[in-house]
Amino acid sequence: MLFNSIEFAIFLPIVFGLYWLVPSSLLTVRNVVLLISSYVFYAWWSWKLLPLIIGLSIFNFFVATGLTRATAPYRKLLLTVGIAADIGLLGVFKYYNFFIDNLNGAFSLLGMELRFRGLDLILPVGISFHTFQCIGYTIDVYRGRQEPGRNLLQFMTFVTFFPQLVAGPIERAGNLLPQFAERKVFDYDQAVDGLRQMLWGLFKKVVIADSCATIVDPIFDDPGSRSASTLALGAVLFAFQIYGDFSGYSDIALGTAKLFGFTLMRNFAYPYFARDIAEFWRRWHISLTTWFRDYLYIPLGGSRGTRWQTVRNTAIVFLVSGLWHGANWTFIFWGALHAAFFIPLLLTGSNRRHLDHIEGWLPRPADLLRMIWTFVLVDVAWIFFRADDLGLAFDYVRGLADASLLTLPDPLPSKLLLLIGFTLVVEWVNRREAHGLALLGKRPLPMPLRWAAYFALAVMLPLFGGTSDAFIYFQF
Amino acid sequence: MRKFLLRTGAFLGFGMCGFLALLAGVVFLNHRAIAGCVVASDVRAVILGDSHPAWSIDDSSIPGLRNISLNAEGYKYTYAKLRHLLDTSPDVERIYLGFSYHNLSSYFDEYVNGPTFRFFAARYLSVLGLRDILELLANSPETAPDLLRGLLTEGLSSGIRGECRLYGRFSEEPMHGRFDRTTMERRIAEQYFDAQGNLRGISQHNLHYLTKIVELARERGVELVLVSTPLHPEYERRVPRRFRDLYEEFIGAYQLEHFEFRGLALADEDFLPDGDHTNYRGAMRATIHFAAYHRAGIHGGEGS
Repeated sequence: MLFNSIEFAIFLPIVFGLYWLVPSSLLTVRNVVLLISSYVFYAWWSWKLLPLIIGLSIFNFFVATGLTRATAPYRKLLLTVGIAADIGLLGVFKYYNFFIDNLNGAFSLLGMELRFRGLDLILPVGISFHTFQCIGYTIDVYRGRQEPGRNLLQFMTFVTFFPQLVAGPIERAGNLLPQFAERKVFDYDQAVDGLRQMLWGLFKKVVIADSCATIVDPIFDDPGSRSASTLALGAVLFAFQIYGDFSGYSDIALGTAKLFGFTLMRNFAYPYFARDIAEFWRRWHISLTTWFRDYLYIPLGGSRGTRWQTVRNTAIVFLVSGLWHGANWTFIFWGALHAAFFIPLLLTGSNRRHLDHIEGWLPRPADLLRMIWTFVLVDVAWIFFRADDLGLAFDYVRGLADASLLTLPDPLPSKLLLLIGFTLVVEWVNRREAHGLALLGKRPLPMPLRWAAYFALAVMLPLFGGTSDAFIYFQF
Repeated sequence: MRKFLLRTGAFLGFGMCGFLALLAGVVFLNHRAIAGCVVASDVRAVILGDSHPAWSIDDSSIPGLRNISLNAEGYKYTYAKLRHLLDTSPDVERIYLGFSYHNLSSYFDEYVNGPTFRFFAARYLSVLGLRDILELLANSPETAPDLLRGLLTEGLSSGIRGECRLYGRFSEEPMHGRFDRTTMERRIAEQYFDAQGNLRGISQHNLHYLTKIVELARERGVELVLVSTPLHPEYERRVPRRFRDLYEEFIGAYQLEHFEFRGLALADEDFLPDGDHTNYRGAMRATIHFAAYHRAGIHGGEGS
């Protein structure tokens, strides 16, 4: 079920009504409502894959319970088994065919015509998200940072909570799991803010991402016949497509959770206002970045070793992060490019230079230039993320180095560029807030003006939206 | 909670009322704009139908003839168009109606009130009522956002400009391409077979409105000629028996005049890849053939 679908528009009010109709004293019944709703939400894609996610939840629950009971030598073994099983599941569904293809390719290069056969499997929607959530929980329990869940129902609801089930944020048990044990009381302000955040998320998905897709897809499908300026436009629009798509999804997820009194972790903090790559990664897909920091970078030694070790650990994190996005060399190269952009900042000790917000109404010229330069770097990397294979990506980049860069792109989507400009202005004004419409709630305008703003955004959805499509990050 | 429900309800209620008012306004403006749909006073014959006549017959060189066909048009909308035409242009004596095997296949229902209609709905706003629109939304709720977007954006623009989009014309953009067997096979599979490969049923919508068109023409004393624009011989051979039989049966049952471009030998270079349509080159040749038939009149031509 997509957030931008009629089905969800019917599903959400029903679940909302059922949830709040149950008295807060009947916590278990409320969690049952959420769990069944989450399974219905997931089964909308494929009910056949439902046992997989149920099995994943039950398995991790008992591994974590076992960790508290096992003695020292067995604890590590149990942790290894637990993580290996989770990663194994991900490996089979997501990476097996990639591995086999590359193995066959390698043998072929060596002159051996061995043909290992791939598997004909459907990639379960959002498998990377809920698998990582489970791994994080198991490690936290092992480290003693998280009490193991004593209630299987609450744990299963934590793993499958529908707002964040298929594309995150990748929640930490420490944040979300205790919320299923709370007797929630309806909070008007939180619910209204949730609706506001959902509206802004829908705007970014439907108006920005879907509209960009209609221009980006043909350009990336046939880059050879395009002028350099059109290729540049395609790359810039893809940057906004993926931002609108994923941050829009996250806003809808966070907003939906607020309707039920839940607070999910923030996933985006206006990444295109970042002044260097390090700041970009503190603002983009925060739940994944911090996951890799806590469960990969730090266990590898983080920045505690030599400078070379720190560089190595950073490179590993970026490469694995690329691979996490998909079984394709394009994603790995995308991760490598980001590592190449990030490591110089690390080596010069300037990776934590921009921790503050920009004060004032407008950025200083130097900050603006840094933002533009950071965007250019990020955008070059997006070409590799979006292209179907590495060869096409390099062709695309080569195509940019042409005198036709100075001509007008074809098409020139002036209306869409205005809408992107509008989005950037709204987000700039709200850059210190949790989402793009937060200020409307904090500095209340008279109700008619606020409602007029909401109506204007709502009307823009059908008027300026692109053809509805699935969210890009569902495939990860 | 009460405050939240009341306010959210009021917001959605206002929004819904505003939206319906906007939609009603768009429908109203487009109904008014239908006045702009007229054919010149010297026009005596009009071509109606879908992409087949729209892309095959260039009316610009044939005096007294107007081609107002629109691609993907179901007979439901052709019927509405014909009613309007006959009401406003009493001098029209003859109607040529595009009629081919694919018009009888249930795949066409998608273009009448199914999901595909969302791409074409806006041009029929001058004949669609609010009830029709609500029916369309109910028929394919999954495409409602696209349908509404089309109706509001295109409808608002044509309504404000008073532009009637009901009448089409011979394709302004020359259609190029060459017959391609693989594309033709895909086309046959799409038009006559469902996703499982089963033979499709009959389009009840098209059959119903085709009958109504015949009755309307008779009631108004207008000559109706069914026109089957050229098909590639390989395409024609692949059309399943069910549709060929029904095609003949319909013509026979109503004793209708029909013109099939017999004697016009077209080459692969005269067809679009699907073999179901002529390209620009084929259209020019078909037009010459059609013009001779039109000029000679039904009795002197090769109608069957």
